[in-house]
Amino acid sequence: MEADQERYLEEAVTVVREQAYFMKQNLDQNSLREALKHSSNMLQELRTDLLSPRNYFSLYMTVFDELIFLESHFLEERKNGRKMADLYESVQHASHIIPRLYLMITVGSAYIKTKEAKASYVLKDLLDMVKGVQHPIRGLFLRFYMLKTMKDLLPDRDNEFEDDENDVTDSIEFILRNFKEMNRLWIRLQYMSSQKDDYKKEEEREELKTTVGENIERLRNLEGLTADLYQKQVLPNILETLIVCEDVMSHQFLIECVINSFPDEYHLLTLQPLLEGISKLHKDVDIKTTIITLLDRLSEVAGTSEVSIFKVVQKYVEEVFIRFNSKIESNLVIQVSLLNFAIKCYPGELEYINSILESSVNLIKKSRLEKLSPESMRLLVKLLSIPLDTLSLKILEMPQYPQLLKYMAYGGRRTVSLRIVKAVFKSKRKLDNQDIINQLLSFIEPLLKDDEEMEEEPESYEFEEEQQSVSKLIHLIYNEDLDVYYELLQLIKKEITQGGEKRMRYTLPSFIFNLFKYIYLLDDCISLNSKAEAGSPTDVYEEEVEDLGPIPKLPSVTIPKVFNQINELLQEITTPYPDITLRLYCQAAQVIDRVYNKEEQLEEFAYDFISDSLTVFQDELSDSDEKLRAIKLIVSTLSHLECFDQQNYETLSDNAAQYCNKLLKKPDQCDSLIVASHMFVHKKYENGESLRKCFARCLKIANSAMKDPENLSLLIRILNKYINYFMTGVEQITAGDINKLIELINEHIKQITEDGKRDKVKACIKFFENTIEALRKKKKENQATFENIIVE
Amino acid sequence: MSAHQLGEFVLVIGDLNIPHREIEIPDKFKDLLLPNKMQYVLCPGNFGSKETMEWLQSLGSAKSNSHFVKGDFDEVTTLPETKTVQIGNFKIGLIHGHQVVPWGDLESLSSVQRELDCDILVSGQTHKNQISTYDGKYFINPGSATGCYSALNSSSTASFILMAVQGDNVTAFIYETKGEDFNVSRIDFTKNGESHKVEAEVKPSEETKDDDDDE
Repeated sequence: MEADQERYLEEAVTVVREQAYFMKQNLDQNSLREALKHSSNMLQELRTDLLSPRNYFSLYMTVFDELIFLESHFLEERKNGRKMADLYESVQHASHIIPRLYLMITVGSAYIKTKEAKASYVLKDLLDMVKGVQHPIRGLFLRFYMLKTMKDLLPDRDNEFEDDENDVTDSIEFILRNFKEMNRLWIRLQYMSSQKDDYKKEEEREELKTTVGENIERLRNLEGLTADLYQKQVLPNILETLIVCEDVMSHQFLIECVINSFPDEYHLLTLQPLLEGISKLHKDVDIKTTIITLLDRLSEVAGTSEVSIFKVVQKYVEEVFIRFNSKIESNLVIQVSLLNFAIKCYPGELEYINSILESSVNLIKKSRLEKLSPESMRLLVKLLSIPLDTLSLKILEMPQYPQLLKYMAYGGRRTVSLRIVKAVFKSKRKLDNQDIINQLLSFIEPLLKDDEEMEEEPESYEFEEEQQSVSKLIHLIYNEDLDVYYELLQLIKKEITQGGEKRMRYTLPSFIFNLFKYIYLLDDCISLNSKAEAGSPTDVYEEEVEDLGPIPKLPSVTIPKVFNQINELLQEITTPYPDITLRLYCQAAQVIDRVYNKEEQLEEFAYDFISDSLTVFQDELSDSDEKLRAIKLIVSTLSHLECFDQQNYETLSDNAAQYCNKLLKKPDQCDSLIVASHMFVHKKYENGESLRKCFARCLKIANSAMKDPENLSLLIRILNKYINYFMTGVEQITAGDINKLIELINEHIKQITEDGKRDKVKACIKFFENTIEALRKKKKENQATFENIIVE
Repeated sequence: MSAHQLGEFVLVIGDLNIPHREIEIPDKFKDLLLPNKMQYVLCPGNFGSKETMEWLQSLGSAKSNSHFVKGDFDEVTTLPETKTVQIGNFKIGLIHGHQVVPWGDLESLSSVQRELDCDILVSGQTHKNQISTYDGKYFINPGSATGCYSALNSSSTASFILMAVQGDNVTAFIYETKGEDFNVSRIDFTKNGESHKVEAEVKPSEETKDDDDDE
């Protein structure tokens, strides 16, 4: 097939060359009649049916070159006195229509150039004559030849062919009529093609599209094509031609020619009819490409328009969605393009963006797909991330944003939500009212709870990052009005607790630290109010009244209420996360220590917090290192607390000491009891008896643990504690105790064999030397106190 | 003052408590704490999350030059409670300090210093920055780099310490927020010697000016 084509072309080209040779030879010999005969023979080849459009085009180009030569010869003839009118007449005698018309166009060109005839006369005549060729390929090339030949001869503003009777409107008329005919021929090709295959037919037509497009090209090049002419004559005509023909390829190609060829300003002027026309194109046109091309062009000039064109554009885009047989993916591509257009041209119009998001939601709803394709997902990410990247937190003012977010896959939704959270940090925007918090919560919902469609658990590091980001978000909540502030915290609390324990592990500590901060604010507010109350009204006239500033109103929230909540929340995570719970109990007790004198009831909370922490220690922790760290934290916290009455304090400290005693490893018992000793040198409730017992137990354990010389460190730690207490004047610890202990340690060191001196043991000895050295230094500086302590 | 004259830069920074108590360090500090500017990073715990730890590691010249101990609110569970690091002629000990009772008490911290056998003990917990001498040893607390909530301290001052260590000499700068701005104070000390405060409050802008004058 392909080989046949090559042969046909070769044969035809050979004839063309041969006849052209004779044509030129005759022209040289001034035998015009013979020359025309050979040129006619040459043009006969263009009557072929055998060539594909592409090969026909090759043949046409070969002929075209020869015709240029012929035309230049006609102009020479004119110099010799030959009239073009006669020539124009004589070429009409050619026997076949194809050679005849090609020759008429060639002479016609010379006819106009020599000004023997008005351009419009020749143009009209030729336009009538070429109608005679109805074969699509032959007709299209003939008319294409006419356009090419006449391109510089069309009457145009201020050119040589313009006069009283001929102006640019004639040229426009000529091109538009030709355009209509060429479009018709081009469409007919599919019915007349020798190709059986639809795809091949399409391919053939595709190869010929530029011949039709040439008309638009000619129109665009007209200097005299004003906006007015374009609006009144050109565009309506083209659109009519298109709409009437109902041909997909024609619509697709030519509308894009229109959009790409004419100036952006013209599009702006004719936006309504253009969009109207576009919306009436064939339903199978790939309309997204058309719209994207148009939006790209419009975005360059939209700013110059006094009124916003967005609504008009969007109205027609909506019609396009309804009318065209486009896939959801194509429609979403249009939305992305419209979004970019809106952001570029109307960055302040959040409502525009919101309406695009809303329309996208509707598109997805209407598609009724069970599951969106990966391509749709990708576009959805674009629709959501473009506003976020360009407008940042303004997206919170777009109620449709979370609606659209819902359609993303769970993973993608979480990614977008996380980016929103990070944008909030970056903005440092305080979350100070219910609306903003509710909005934000709806936007980041994928991070706050599990999802039905969650197919697999997110990667743990991803989950951790997400939840830690949410936990940071809590720190941005604030309102000066403490009642409002509390309400805001309650909003978050509700979300956090619904997130389940695996999220609460990350979010609850942050929330509780914020409740602690809240309690301090509440406490300050209560203090200010009671000071103000005490100072008024009789004292107002006294001079030295402390200036308290404006007194904030006393909130209805009370400190016990907040602690109650802390207690409830901590109970929820006790079992899954005992360690963090215990640490937060200790923190909560410390908070009470700073505010306890305001409310009687608070001591009870503190009591519960410490005893709960002991329960957690006992019931929930199992790892021995973890237990050691936990009990040390509890006893050191307790030793600092002053909020208890004596009986409560002693109950708790005795209990805690008991737990130290019950640790699995003996050295751990000793280690924790050394810390626990601080509970008995308490600021308010010294307990010499317990302190003595505590150290007696420590010494006993340490001594019995000396089989492992590493445990020497326990004795030295006791020694350090002794020195500490001795210096602070704890009467239970005497110089004698210190001397005895130093002696004991020395004894133990002597017994350590050289083999036993492992690194850790050496470190213990160094610890001891450092302690003695410090003691020596202290004694030197403070003879009186250390008089009875013996250091070598 | 060039880096060469001052020796090795050691960033001492702790008690950030991100994300439990704060979102991030103050913006002013962010501009100062850029990756790879210091040789060492020493963190006495309560940095918070793994993410925060990784950020702190990025500030040092190598991951192996970053040293962390465990505070009472750290999520990285594999860290030790104490650690020692040799920098210049100094052996530096690290501990968070919630284990040392009474909290912040120098005599009690001294006992840890003796046990770790270090010249400088770095600790946190109190959220109050300080550089003290006690029994001829140095006790450094960088404060909280976020100025975050603490039950022990109602101030929201954020701080960290930058030390330049060369042989027996240390020049320490305390960076501390003050309202929207921050102060830098400088303390010089030598091993087994005494420390002295050089300039009480050097604003960063003035410091830069001095540098220009030197040249």
